Amino acid sequence: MVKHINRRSLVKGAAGASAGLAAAGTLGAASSTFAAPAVIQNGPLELSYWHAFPSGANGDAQTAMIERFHESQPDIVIAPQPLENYEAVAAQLITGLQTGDSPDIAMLSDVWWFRFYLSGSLQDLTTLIADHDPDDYVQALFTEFQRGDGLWGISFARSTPLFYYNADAVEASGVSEDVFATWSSFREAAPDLIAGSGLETAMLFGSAASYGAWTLHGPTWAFGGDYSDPEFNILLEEEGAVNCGEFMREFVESGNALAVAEPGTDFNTGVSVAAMQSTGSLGTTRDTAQFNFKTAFLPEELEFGCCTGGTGLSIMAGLDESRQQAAMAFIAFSTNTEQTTLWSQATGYMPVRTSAIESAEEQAFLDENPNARTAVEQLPLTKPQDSARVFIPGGDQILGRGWEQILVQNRPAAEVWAEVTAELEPEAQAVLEQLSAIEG
Amino acid sequence: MESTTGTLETAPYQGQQYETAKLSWRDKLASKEWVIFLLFVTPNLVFLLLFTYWPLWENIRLSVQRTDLLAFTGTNEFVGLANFEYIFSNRTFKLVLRNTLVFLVASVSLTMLSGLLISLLLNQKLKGRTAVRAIVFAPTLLSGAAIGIVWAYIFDPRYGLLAQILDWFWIPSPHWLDRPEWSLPAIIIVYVWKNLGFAAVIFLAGLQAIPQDLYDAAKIDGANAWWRFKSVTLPMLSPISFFLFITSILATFQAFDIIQVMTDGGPAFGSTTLVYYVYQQGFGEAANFGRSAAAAIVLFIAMLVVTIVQLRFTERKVHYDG
Repeated sequence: MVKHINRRSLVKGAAGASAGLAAAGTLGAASSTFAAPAVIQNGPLELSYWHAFPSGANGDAQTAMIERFHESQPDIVIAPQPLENYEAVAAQLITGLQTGDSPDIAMLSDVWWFRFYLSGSLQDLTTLIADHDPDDYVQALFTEFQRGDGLWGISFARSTPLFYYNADAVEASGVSEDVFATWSSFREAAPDLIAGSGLETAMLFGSAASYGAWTLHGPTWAFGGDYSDPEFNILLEEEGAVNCGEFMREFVESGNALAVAEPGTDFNTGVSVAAMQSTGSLGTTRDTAQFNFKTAFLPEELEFGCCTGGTGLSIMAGLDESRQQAAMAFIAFSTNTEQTTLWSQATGYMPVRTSAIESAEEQAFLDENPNARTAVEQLPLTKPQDSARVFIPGGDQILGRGWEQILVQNRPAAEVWAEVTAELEPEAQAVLEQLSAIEG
Repeated sequence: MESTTGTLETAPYQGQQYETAKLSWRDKLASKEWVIFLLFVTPNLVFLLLFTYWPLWENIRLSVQRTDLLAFTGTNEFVGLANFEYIFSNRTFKLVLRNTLVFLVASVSLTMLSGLLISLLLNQKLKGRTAVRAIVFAPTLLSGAAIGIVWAYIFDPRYGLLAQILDWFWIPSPHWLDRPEWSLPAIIIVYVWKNLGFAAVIFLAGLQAIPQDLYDAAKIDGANAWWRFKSVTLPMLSPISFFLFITSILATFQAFDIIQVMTDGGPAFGSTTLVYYVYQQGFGEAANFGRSAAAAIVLFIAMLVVTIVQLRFTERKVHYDG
């Protein structure tokens, strides 16, 4: 998930930027020539590209990748427009579609691409991707952008929640790292972790704005719950989701966990023993944390639960053939084996190609960076998110606000989930009607 | 020409009848006052219709529709008062109304009170008064977004300036921006800080316009400093106070930038005001312009009520005479 600019990340920015520039320089050294589509005949074709990585390690890596694309071929020029985050890209695209000012390529997150699919704003990529070895993409991630008979985006900056912990603090507390295996054992050890480490809290949870409903999606599954089923039936009032809500509420209410606006930043500045963050935050945490940190699979409970997330690249509908092919050339370049490896190593996002995961460079990198290896090894255990969060317009925010009510307002989970269900159900019905009209 | 009786007479104009007969159609038109009136008024009227009344009408129209800019059908569905029913039955909206009221009362009253106090200080013949005035006024000129970022640092419960100051008194810093009960007070503090310089400068101008004679007369009548303030300063400042009251209320209703940067209306809607709710519904979450428009109408009505109350108050309490 994209990293927000915030007060402390700005302070840490100088160090991060230096490291990022160094990384970009290293990445820039490796690029191969690339064949532009034959349909481009009359000079360079400029394509606009709206993305969500304005700065930091991810921003530097994105800029370096575009530069490598330009070096690899002379016919296509990418005009990037970095926006603050995924939401900003989507908001600008909504208004841009009304005024005719939309890009050729847009970075659309897990919770946004489906809305543009429903509105018919996206180009089906099935044919365009055919020449770029689609079978090599990690299929679990690749198929998440399939709907109906089409493919509406190509996985690019894909991530999963990952469990980060302050290894120095855990060592100082004398508590075994094994307590992070389950939520119950972690909760039980939390007072000792705080007392022994001297840190303010054992765990950080995020708000709606910081993707709280995304990071807590896996734990909801782990407690046997769901946000919804694939048919858009909202299941929040069932036992598993309520139990998870109550468990997390008590965790915070007891003073052993904190619900904050920016859990990633607070973890990186040494406030907490542990936090759930995106794999895409690996690069930032590596650059900014002043302590040794480790990553682990998300804790289990009744079962293991972890969802996928992040973003893909989509081509807007209505482009002529040459622009479509040029746009796909850029997307294919960005997700080819070499670039996937470089991108993943610089940012922490999941490698989206099997060949990239298996490459010697990636394996050597994972050997040197066990935190990144954890993320890659957790990937096969993850699954796509419930429809309530990603397919209902605003569902992520509605669920996130629900989590805020539970964690920040200390309201009973059953009561909050009943209200959230009442809010989500009419929205789900509207989506079902639209889907019925589109897909039959 | 003035007559001996003091009334005005119209002098006969030689050849007037002849010229009237020879007037071109343009002159005829120009001679009609209503045409001149229309010529002057039309451009403004067009702009008003285009940029004020048409959007207002569109907002009313949207408020009774289920709207979605990305609706695949491209059409909006008429839903009657469903958007209003939704927002008024929604627990969040009640919280938003409460936040708006608290924000309004606290920021307007604190801004005006602190502005008045500072203006009274600056009205003394003190050394460096001009420099202090400039410093006090400076935050008014700063961008709200920049102010929001800086104050977010100041409010940081661990490393922020405010935490350090509170620490001198062994008071732990609240988690200003992470707790719903503290986020709105934090926003209010920042808004008051940003706007009190403006209030102080306006009050100062008002103070300096009060004739010294009134104070002298009050002194002769035996009025002490408090009575002079109560019976001379405050009444004489009433037009200024009224102006500030109106502008502060309007500014508070429209407050957006600092909320967006510092809290994004959160956590748990703790600092979401009505105007921010309008934004969230329209652009932030579900791109639901129907609900956003319904909330905007509630905002419009609230501002209308406040304005009417203000006008009534003006008639009774504000003194424009010396």
